[in-house]
Order: sequence, then C-alpha cells, then structure tokens
Amino acid sequence: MNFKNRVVATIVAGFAVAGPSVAASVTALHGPASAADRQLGEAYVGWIAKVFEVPMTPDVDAPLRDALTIMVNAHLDHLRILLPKWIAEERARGGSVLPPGDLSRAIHNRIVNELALWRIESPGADYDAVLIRAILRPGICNLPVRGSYLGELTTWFQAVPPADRPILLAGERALLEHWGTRREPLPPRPDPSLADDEASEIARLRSGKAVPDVAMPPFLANSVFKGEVVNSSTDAQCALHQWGLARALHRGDSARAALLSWRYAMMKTASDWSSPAPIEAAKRDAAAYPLVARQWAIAGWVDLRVVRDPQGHFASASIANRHIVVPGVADNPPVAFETLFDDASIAGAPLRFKSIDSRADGTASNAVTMRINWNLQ
Amino acid sequence: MRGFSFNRLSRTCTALLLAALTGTAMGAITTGSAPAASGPMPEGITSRIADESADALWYGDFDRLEKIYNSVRQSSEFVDGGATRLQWFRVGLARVYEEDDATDPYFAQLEAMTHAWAVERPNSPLAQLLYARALYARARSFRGGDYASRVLPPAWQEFKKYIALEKVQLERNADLLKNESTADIYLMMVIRNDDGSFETLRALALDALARNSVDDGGFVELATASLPKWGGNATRFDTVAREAARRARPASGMAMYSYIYDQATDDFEGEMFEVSEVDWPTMRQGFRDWMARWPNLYMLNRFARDACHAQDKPTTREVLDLIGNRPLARAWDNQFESCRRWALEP
Repeated sequence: MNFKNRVVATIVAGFAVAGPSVAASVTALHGPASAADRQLGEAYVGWIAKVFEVPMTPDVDAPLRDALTIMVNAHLDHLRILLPKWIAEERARGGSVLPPGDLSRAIHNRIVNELALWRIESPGADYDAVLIRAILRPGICNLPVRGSYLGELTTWFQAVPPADRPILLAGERALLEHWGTRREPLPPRPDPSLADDEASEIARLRSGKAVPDVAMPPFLANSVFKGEVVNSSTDAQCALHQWGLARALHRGDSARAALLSWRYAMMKTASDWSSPAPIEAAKRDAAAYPLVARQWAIAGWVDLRVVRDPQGHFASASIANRHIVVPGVADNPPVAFETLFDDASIAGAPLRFKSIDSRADGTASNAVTMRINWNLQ
Repeated sequence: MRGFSFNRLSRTCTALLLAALTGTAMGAITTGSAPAASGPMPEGITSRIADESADALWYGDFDRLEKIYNSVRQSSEFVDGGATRLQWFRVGLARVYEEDDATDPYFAQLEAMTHAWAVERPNSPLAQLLYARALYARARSFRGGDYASRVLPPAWQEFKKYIALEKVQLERNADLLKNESTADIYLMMVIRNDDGSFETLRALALDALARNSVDDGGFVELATASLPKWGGNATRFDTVAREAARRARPASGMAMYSYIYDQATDDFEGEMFEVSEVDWPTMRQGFRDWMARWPNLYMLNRFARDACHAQDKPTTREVLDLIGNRPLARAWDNQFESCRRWALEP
C-alpha cells in the first residue's frame, strides 16, 4: 500500500503562492516607508490567514468551525497590532539602511518562529491530558486533506469528546495570546529527540528479532519496514510520532516529558515553511550551506560530538550544541531554525575531522568536540 | 493505490474478489429464472465495505472495524457483484494481511497490534478473529507460496509454529466464536495447512453455512483443499464444486460450480479442461446463473476467457460482444487478444 501523496510542503506551496515573497516586499518598499511597512504587515497577516484558514470540509462540524473562526479572527486582529510593532523594532534595529529584503526576512523568521513556539508550549495539564488522548486515538492519522496548517491541527479538536473540546479551544486561545511575548521558561529541546528514539527502536525491530513494545498500525509498519521516507507523508509522520509518544508513555516517561518530545517532533521548522527547488536541492552537496538557511540569512555554529575508533579515525558524529543566529528572532530561542545546520554539519564531519585528527590534539578520550561554523558569505 | 495481493486465501473469503471494472446495465445474459440486477454493473473487484475495512485495519482503528463488522456479520444480501457484506469485509482485511512484499517485521507489528486488541477485548469475537488471522498471515509470510518441499527447514518451522498458534487461538476462543462463520473459515485455513482431513474440513464448511446461511467461503476453502496439490483429486474437487452449488447458493443454479472451477484455473496450470472433471456445459450455465443474479464485469470477462479455454467459440463470441470495449486485463492473464482473434476466425 502506498501513502496518500500529501507532503508537508503542501502548506509551503500555499505560502509560496499566497505569501508575501521577499521580492514582493522589496517592490512594496520602494514607496514611502510607512505605506510600504503597512503593506508588508498586511501581506504577512494575509499569509497567516491562509495558514490559519478554518477547514470547510464536511468532516469538521459546524460548532467547531464557528469556534475556530472566532479564535482565528481574534488572532488576526492581534497580529494586526503586533506586526507594525515588529516592523518598527526591525527598523529600529537596522537603522535607516535596513535593506527591504532584510526587513521582510526578519518578519518572516519571527512569524515562523512564533508558529513553532505556539506548538511546543503547554497551556496546562488539563489541556495536555486531553491532547494526549486525542493523539493516541487509533486511526487519527488517517488525515483528511484540509488545506491549511490549522486544518491539520483541527484533527485533534475533532477527535476529542464534546466535553473536552472547550479545554482544547481555551488552551489554544491562551497559546495564541502568547505570540509576541518572551516565553519563560521555554522547555528545552529534548535530547535525544523523539525522532532519535524512534529511529533506534526501528533499527532494533528491523533486525527481526525484537518484540515490539507498542505496535505500529500496519500502514506505518509498511512504510517503515519497506524503507519509505516517512517524513514525506503527513499521515505517516503523524503515525510515527503517535507511536513514539505511545512508546514513551508505555516505558514510563512522564506525560509532560513525553508530550514535549512529541511537540518538538511535530513542530514545523523553517524548512517546512520553505520550498527550495527540488532539482537544485537534490544536486547539492549534503555538507553544503543549507539552502533554507541561506534563503533566510541564518548563521551560527554547531558543536559535534565526534567519536573516534581505536585507530583514532572518525567513527560517528552527533549534535552536542548549537548557536543559531536568526534575523528577526531576538526575544525567544529560534526553535524553528535550531536544527537547520544539523544534517549538513554531520554530513561534513568525516571530512572536517581529518584535519583535527592530524593535529593530534592529545585527547585521551575517544570522543572529541568539533565546532562547525556556518557563516554567510 | 494500495497493492493487493489476492491469493487463494482471499478467494476463500469471497466469491468475486478478483473481478474488476465499472459497467453498464447488463441484461443479455440471463436465464430468466431470476431477476437480473438493474442499474450499473459493478466492477466485481471491490466494494465500499472492503475499502472501509481495509482502511480501518490499515490505520489500526479497531473501533471502526468492529462497527463495520457488527453491521455486516449477519447481512444476507449479495452485493457489488455477488459477495455478501461479510465476505467483502474479509476481502478488505485480506488486503492488509497480504500486503505485497511485506517482510517479517511488518507481520510482527500486525501480530503485536492484533494481540493487544485480543488481550484488551477478551469478549470481542472480532478481536479474537483478527489476532488469529494475523498469526496466519505471519505463518504464510514464512512459508511463501512455493511447494512445501521447497520451503527451507527454518522457515517451515516458523510456519508450523504460527499455524499452531492460530489453531490454539481459535480453539481457546471456540465458545466466544461459536456464532462466527469466519471462525470456521479461518480454522479451515489452519487445518488445510496442517494436513487435516477432508472430512474435518467439510464438516467446518457445513458448520459455517449453519452459522451463516449465505457465507459460502467455507466451500471455496474446501475446494482449495480438494485440489491435487493439497492432497485431493479431480473427482473430489468436482464433488465439492457440485455440493457448493447445491448447498451454498441453492437458489442460484450452478453459479457456485462455475465460480469454484474458475478460481481453480491457475491451480490446474492452464489445463483445467484436460485434467479436471469439469463439465463445460454445466460451467457455462453456472456463469449465466451468476450473471443473471450478480452481473459484474470481472465475471463476464472470466466467462469469456473460460469459454475460450473450453474452445466454445459461439459462447466466446457472444460474451466478447457483451464485453465490447471493456476487457479487464486482470481477468485474462494476457490471453484476451489471442482469444479474441480465435473467436473472430470463421
């Protein structure tokens, strides 16, 4: 069986068409600054309106649609206040020489980060308990196509009993009100991630000898064990992390910790909101500067934990630490961007390690730390 | 699109699993002994019930499966080309249990999922049946489709282990499953693979009919067990085909006789009309009986194909005319063109 061919980039494509591109913003900014800024702000409100489009498919009942519409309208009003403030902040930061493209990138980055922050925060234990029940509901990942990010999220609202729905809606409203504020304390990114945990369990199961602790639904098992790219399907991604969450709870992780891992795994990153040309992306060196990072002017460094074999040669690398600088994101950790350099850093590690190794750093341990700097030229 | 892998097991489950396509109203081939179904001719390959049950199992949604099962398990109508709703339900399950190219970790997950359902729902007949069927699927995954003598000993050992586990599962829940014809059919599959006697299998086929008077899947399974490759012979097979027509769908003439022989054409390796005891005039009548009651394009195509194999040129021409521009590739095994040319020859 094959999965429904719905990729995460569906929304990205919507953004690419309907969203305010950097080029469009540049044009807008040829006019008087205030008018151009207003235009830029409205363009981003328009984009968010698309992201938050209330699904009109018949599987979403009318009361839920009405409640979501009220919530979204309030949020868009909130954004109409926030965006001029954010634009003003960027102008203040960049001064009179702020290039128009930079302004638009900064606003884009801030919004993308807010979208991520929105999904990793918890509004409280009651909400979390309801959400966990919704996530674990069998068959929930047979996702209907609903055309927007809110449409995807509506799955959880639709899945809960009517009595629980107000808890979810109240929680969402509270989280949306956090947009534009400093989140403190923001829960740290789990390490290992849910994806890491899932990958190691899948490797164990693939051996054919391990007994599953929590079973996958057949469509996920089929995808995973046939080696298909799970992340290319929203259904499979949903099911994979549903399974990961169920396993975490099964082994006794706290609901809070397990749900946080799930939240980070399900969160949309900057890559999910960008769509580099597939042909160009496919041709690129895996260790090269990531296209999405270049597109949004992201820089920083990644510390790798490199393990050496007994001969001192490179054996493996994993992420030890990161410092990512994101234009437009100063008030909160850039959670939507933090992992942008991970794959490229690890892909380039064997080649870069040779030079470190040849310096004979004298470290007795088999593990060393190696910093990869990512600087925009 | 999902990859279906219909083998004998899925044929066991329902009459028209391999049929296909859409159609238009069909009236020419009728005996007049029963009203021809009106409206568009169904494909005969699938049904909404099969699609829904496959979907529910595929996504691991037991509650949805049970809801569907409860609505179909005692339904007596033949729908979508000639199978009961329960039979279509099993067809849907078989799509997941017989996933193409799946490896053991897939079947291990299927077993684990259905085992959890069976443990969590000890009083649910469906939960127990789904687990039993998963054990069978895993057994078959080790065995493969080759002759037993060619299966490697370690794989054979695993096959036997899971067959035995399925038997235990069905026997342990015998009381709970006493009203489920599907339990008889699943047990027949075990017994056939476990060198059980023909008499035991026949008793189970009759028991399935006693539990559900329209569930003739047991007779299709019995026919399979009567094939020479399963220790039977041509006479026994013919006896089963005739008994199926008499007992399983008594009001539909020789329809089941034709169906059972048609499904066995591959097992007779293309020489059915030479090595079996099939009586073509009876089989031809059976096709007409079937089409009179449950017209569908797949069966119509099979009728033409079998008529061609039987070298009955007038019937081949007649049915090809009815098929017109709707030949179904999967019904013909690449023989449509040669049969068509032969039929057109003077």
